[in-house]
Amino acid sequence: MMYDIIKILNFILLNGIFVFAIAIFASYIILSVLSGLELIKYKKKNSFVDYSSIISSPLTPSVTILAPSYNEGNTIIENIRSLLSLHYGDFEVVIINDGSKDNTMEKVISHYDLVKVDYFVNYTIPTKPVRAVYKSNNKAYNRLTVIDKENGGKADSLNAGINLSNKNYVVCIDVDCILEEDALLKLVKPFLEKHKERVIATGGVIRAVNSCEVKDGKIVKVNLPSNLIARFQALEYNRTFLMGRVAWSRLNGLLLISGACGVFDREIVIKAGGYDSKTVGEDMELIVRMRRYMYENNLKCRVVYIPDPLCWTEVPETIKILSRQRNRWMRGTIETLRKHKSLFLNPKYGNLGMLGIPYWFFFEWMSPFVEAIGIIYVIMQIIIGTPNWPFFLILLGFTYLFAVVFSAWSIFFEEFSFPRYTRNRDIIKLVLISLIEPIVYHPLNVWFALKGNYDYFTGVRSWGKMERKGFANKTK
Amino acid sequence: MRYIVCLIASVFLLFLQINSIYGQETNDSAYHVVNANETAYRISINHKIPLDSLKLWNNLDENYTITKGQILFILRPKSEVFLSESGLSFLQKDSIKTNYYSPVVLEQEKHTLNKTTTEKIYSFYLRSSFIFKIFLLLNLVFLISSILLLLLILYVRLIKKITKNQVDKCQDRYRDFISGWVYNENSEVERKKLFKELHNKIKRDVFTTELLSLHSNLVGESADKLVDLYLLAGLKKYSVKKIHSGKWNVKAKGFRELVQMKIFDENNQIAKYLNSKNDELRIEAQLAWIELNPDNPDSFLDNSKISLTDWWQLNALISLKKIGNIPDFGKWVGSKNDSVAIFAIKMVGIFKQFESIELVMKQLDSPIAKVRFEAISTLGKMAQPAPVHDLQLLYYKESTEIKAQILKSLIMISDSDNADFFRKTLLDEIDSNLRILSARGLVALGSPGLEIIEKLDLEADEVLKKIIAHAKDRRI
Repeated sequence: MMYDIIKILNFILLNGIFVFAIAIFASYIILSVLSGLELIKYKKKNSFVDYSSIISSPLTPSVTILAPSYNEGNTIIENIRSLLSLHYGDFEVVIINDGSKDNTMEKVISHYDLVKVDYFVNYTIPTKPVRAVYKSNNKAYNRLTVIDKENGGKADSLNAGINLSNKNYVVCIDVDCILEEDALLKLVKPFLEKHKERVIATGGVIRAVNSCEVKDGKIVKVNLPSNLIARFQALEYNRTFLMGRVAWSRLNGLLLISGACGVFDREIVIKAGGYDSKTVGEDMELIVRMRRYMYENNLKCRVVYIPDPLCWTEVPETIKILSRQRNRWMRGTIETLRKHKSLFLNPKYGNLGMLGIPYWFFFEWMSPFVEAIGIIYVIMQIIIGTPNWPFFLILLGFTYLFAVVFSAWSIFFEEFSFPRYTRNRDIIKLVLISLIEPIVYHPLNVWFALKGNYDYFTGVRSWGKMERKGFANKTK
Repeated sequence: MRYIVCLIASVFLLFLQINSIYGQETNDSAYHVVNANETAYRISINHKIPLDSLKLWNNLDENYTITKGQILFILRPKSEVFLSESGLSFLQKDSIKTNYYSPVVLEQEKHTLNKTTTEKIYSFYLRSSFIFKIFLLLNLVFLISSILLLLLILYVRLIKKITKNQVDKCQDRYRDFISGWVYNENSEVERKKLFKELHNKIKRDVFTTELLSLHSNLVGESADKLVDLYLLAGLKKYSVKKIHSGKWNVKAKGFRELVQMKIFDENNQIAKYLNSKNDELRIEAQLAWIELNPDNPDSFLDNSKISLTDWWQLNALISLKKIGNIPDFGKWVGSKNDSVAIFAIKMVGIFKQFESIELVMKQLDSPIAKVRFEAISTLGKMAQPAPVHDLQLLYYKESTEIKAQILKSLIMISDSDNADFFRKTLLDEIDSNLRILSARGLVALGSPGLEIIEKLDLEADEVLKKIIAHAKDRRI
């Protein structure tokens, strides 16, 4: 009896894992092919577009840039300057001070000559109380508005900004991000291109700014991060965006626009109810909810990803901060997937329900478990049994080489599409890092993801701080 | 895609399962009674066991002598039983065949006990299972492809670098030459030498780009001179070639060149693509058409069944501004194709075609909300008092969004008839955005409006007071 049960379990495990492995290999290959097609199309499309002529057109839609800030006193002045110097026709910059405990507010008020205005705050989406709204006395900073509100988290701050904006599109970014000058034009373009289906959100490729030379809020020279942890992430971002998101955008199954940089249709955001301030994965949750709203009202929609590097952000350089970030991402994923579990394999929600959500469930949420079980199994085998070494090595080699080829492929995509690393040395370094990534960086990520699961189910719900070094004192 | 190497684990597991199956050879013993004319070879093949094992377990002599009726022990690995029971017989079929020494291999083995390492590996390979061979092959494929990818990346970089060097070398020279051409500074010899270089595709592209970019900044005689240069250098031939190319992006480039150089010969060719199914190509063809048919630029608006995207409209406006000969858009304001109607209404507003106001006002009754919205917005931009009454009447039938636009347009028209209307909406509306706009409207009217506001402010509740303060604050 006992033997039979074990046999059945073994059978399920064996077959399940076999299917899992085949599915994951197949999905990676399919996604990379789709990405390639999309990259070629985007490149062709961009080969003759003249963005400069568009800026001055009266038909270019106006946008609001929303940048929440919490304890960013070191960098806030620089960051605002960078945002104000973007190339775009009609835009406003709204900085939301989320009850910072440092001197963020005083610094901004004195540097940008701000005064309180009699703003009637409209709580279309409920948020924490707004203490005051500031505008500048200086005409040069006409575009700047600063909201000072009580602390409520990033999602709550963005909601306050969305309430205040009266433009059709809102750009939600991390205040410390550096946007490429023409980023807004490229991000807004997809909204204008579609007629039959409505584009509800767009995002672009995010790159690691660590070790790059930054001057006056602009990137002067692009360097590969010198810090090892950051360098791993440079490679990882490259792969995630160029091989993953772009393909999902083509499939119309994309369910995440990174919180670091995304443009949203404000009307749909409000109708869907704004950001959920209770989750730590508010960026992913919003996209899923917006799409859900569209599907449930029988409106065709699209979320578009642009394979152009548009946004540069500082990535964690220590294991401690990285672990916090990944832990939070994991919890955000779980929260979103659980909240919207009715979408899972639900044909009513198109590719989102049939492909996007299941993919995230299996290959983002579940895969760390599978992997962990595998590692434990290996160790057990080595301790008790006598593993079939040739077979072990050949399969290990297989998975390892697959990962390396995949990384190399993404580096090739980058080279083919929009190369930013000018020196050959950097490319060689990137390739070298891809050789050790599966052994060093990846197991770390698995661990953080498992920890995230543990924390989620034992009730930890906090964000975890990201310490900023600031660009001002980093430029060498 | 965060867990790209999650397959490591899954494949580990898979392998370990297989491994544990083959690894454990339990004493599931069986025996065989030798029949007449049977040889040890035959028995070993029939029972799928190595001849060596047979010999070992039954103490056979060098020549594998067996006699009729002799009982031979045959030990069967348990894994076979498991595999056939667990439904994974596809693994079994091939692996069992080769998992044990085949007589041929055994013969080879016997003859060459003291083999070289290479030969040992080869014989190991022959002995290995089918799955093993597959994975070995895949490993080789991945290894080779990662090396190839790396080489490809470096090759692409090299080519790009060479091209860039070439471009850099001639770019400045060409720029000098082209600007020299405008002032007749170039000698005959110089010209001949340069024209010869244009047979090189890269150089020709650089030359064309430089020529076009300078041309776009010039007007009148100097611009005409550059067109002469373009023709003299024989570049027209290449532009025409481009529009006959099979690639749509090259075609589009060709369109743009011909448009800028005002070459009308190929209009028929361009006309073919006015209704093309390729969105990008159609837009480019239509834009080219606008500029190449100055007498009747928008003639295709009459029969265009395909909807005009915002992106199209934006670019079309740029093209229209270039030709300067603006058609009367009133013709299309009533178009049945709503995207054409919207475009026409926008253009009436932008080019201030006051004679078409009546036609735009008719569109206030349109059943399509978007058309009404655009008509309201355009009437506001025209700032004529004629539609005030209609707009006020329409107000009460509309959704909040359109109501807001009506108020905005009325503010722009700034007619004293609006005072009572604004007062009413300020007091009656619930939506605070509409109330703010109403208050703004009163403020914009100057003293009569301000009088009303001051009066209201005296007896206002807290919310209304805040709204009035907001509307009066000019810094917002």
